[in-house]
Amino acid sequence: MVEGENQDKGAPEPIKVVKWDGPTVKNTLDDCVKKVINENYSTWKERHTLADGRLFLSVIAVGFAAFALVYDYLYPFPLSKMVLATCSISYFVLMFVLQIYQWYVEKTTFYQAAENDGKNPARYWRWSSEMKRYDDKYTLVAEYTQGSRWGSMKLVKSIASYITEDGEVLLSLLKKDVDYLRDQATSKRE
Amino acid sequence: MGFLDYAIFDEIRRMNSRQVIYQFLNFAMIVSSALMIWKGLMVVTGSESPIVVVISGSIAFHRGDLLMLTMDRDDPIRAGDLTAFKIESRDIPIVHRVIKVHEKSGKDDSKFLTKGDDNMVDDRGLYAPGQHWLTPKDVVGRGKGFVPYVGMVTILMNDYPMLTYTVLGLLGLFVLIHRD
Repeated sequence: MVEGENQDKGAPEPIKVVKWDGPTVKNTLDDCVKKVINENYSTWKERHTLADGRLFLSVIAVGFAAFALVYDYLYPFPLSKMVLATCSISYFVLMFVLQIYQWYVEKTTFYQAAENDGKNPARYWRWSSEMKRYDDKYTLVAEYTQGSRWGSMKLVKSIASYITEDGEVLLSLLKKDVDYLRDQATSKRE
Repeated sequence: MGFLDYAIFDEIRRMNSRQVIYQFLNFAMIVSSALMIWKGLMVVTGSESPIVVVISGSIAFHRGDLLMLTMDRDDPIRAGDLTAFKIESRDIPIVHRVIKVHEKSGKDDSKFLTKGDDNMVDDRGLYAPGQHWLTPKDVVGRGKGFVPYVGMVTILMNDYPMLTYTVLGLLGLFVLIHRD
């Protein structure tokens, strides 16, 4: 079965990327992994708890800034001194918290899902990836927790394994590795 | 080709709604950081305009220098101090030296006369018609330190507003369409 090449009229737009732009390539591969999982694994449902946490923190921080702006406009300095001081300090504290959150909680995760096949307790998946600057090696890690059980599997491959000369991402090749990671992670007993 | 079909927009086209929201929040956070630093400086220095740019220079301060102002109402103004003051109905503060001070019993009752270091005469010609002295209410801050040349960017942006809009617009667009 050949997938991903544009042979019939109804084929989706090929995913192209500038293959020399490291960060964009990583982001694009991440997006493709998500696409492959969401389109093929029917028992998996994407979760956004980590992203929502980040959005929540950001909104609160911007909220403080916006409040300070409006308050200072309505009651100009020096009346607004205490409010400005509080909002300013709170804003920077929240920025710090957000940074800690991104470093230690979210880390390199780009995809979360809950796998529910109706019989066993749900499996919570967490997929993360890394790619060093100016390096062509893409590290993909799949981890899951199921009750007290957990498993994980890592794969390091050059981006040349998935991307053509022209910068097109071949989803069929990526899917093979995504399937491989999923199977290996769940088959290892911890 | 439609506008969004260009290659630089590849990333944003592939973003889902959460990611788009985060891009806007990212932009908002950059603006908020600048705002909070500015307001924070206002609180710390006690001055409404903690940092000002010199527009017309003198020997001491050249056009484009950045000036740091602090404002401490409890510290009495003395002859020799460099003060930033505003004349009624004029927006732009003037930073000149205080040469004469008359104090009465209360702090808010002082009167002072200023003169630019390079000028031959005092500032009475600059004050509002009928005004011969400045009062503490006119003072916006006291000059505490300066950084040369850095303010030229602000002057340029002020003189050529199109430049400001273009630069800020491009920066904003860049932040919105790129991740991280």
